[in-house]
Amino acid sequence: MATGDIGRRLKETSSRSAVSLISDIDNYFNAMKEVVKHTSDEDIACVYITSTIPSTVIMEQLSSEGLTYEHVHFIDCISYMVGSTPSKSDRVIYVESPTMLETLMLKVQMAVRHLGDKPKLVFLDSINTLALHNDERTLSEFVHYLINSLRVKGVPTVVLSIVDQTPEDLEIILKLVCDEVIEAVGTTNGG
Amino acid sequence: MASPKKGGERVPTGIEGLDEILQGGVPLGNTVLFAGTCGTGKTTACFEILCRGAAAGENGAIFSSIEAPDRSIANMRSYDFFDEGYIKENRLIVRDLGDLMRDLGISHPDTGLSVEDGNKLIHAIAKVVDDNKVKRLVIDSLTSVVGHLEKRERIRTFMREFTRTFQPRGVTVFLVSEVSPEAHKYSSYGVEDVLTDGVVLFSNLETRGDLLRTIQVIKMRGTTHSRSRYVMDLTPYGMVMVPVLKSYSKGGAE
Repeated sequence: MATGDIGRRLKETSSRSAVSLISDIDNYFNAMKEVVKHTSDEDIACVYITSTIPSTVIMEQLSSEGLTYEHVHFIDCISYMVGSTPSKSDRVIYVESPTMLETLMLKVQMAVRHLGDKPKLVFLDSINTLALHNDERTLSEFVHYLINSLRVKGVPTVVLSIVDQTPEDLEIILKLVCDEVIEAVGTTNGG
Repeated sequence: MASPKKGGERVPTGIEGLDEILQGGVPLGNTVLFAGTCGTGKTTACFEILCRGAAAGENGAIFSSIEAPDRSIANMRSYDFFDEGYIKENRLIVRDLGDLMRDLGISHPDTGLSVEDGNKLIHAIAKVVDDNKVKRLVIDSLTSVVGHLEKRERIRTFMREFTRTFQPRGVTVFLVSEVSPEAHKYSSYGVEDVLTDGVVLFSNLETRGDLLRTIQVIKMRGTTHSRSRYVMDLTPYGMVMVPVLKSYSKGGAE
């Protein structure tokens, strides 16, 4: 599927849905961009958990593409680890390490509470980079809790994973808890 | 406010997660010990319970020996559950416990408190409760009071009188107990936790390079509840709680 269709597919999902967004490496940036664009177009606040690229870099990339990120609230668990000096920002909550999964869950809960009744979506980018730093079973438990705790609050989630690179245990848990699978594989038109 | 649940009327703490564990809240009129080491969130949790109560129309009072009222109030301004209006309208009363004891003439650093002194203190607190229609009461900390009583029998008598005074008034009481992490107990003298209806333990957990605050309901008379340990954080929007994830080693869960 072309990445340009991601927004359309996300628009069709319900407010309690969990979506497994599977991309290949070539489509990674476009897939990420489409999720941000979808939330902007639909006036949805986006809680963006990044364990892949520091939030400042993502903001620069979005800016360079002319995309707005005023509606995005980052939970950044990679900047500290890679030695980037986090700057104080209302837009970013820093978690010191991607191994701090409980802290990550707490920060998501905090961000969701902060946003109150506004429509919102939680975007996890990505399961693969979290898997680099965490035991598969612990991470499976994390994903299971995260998705379901948000589901009961009526907050949809999008979990990004890279095709053929996701550990088996995690693939199983994603299939179990996600309602929809969107594949952005093989076609590199950014839409 | 949540509706009363089967088994008696509940007092919702307003803390998301804790009320779910307690099937809707603390049973009305219970005396609950919040036990833990310093910096684990006991005082902030108490203030949140008082403020959430005030917002829902239940007046609250805290008697503190830990901080002066002005300082306590200043610390609470960073939380969105706090509203200056609660203080102005006497929906939240913050009093210095040391000042109260001095005013009553029962502050004797050398000789400690007698049973009569303990009763005087209880009745002075009860007057504030009655005068202000207080429904949620916090003593922060109980340890500082019972420390003056010195003897276990006096502490037992004080605790019984305390419960007898506030339970019939329909006041739900939260008593803060300072314990050291090495102590493996919930109160300084091993009496306070036995005589209270509930014990909630606040502690720390080191896992995967993270030092986390945790909360665990050890006992709560009048309700079924989980005894699992939860990770919690004191955020500007109030306390949030999530489960502790298992850490796996080669042999299985730790």
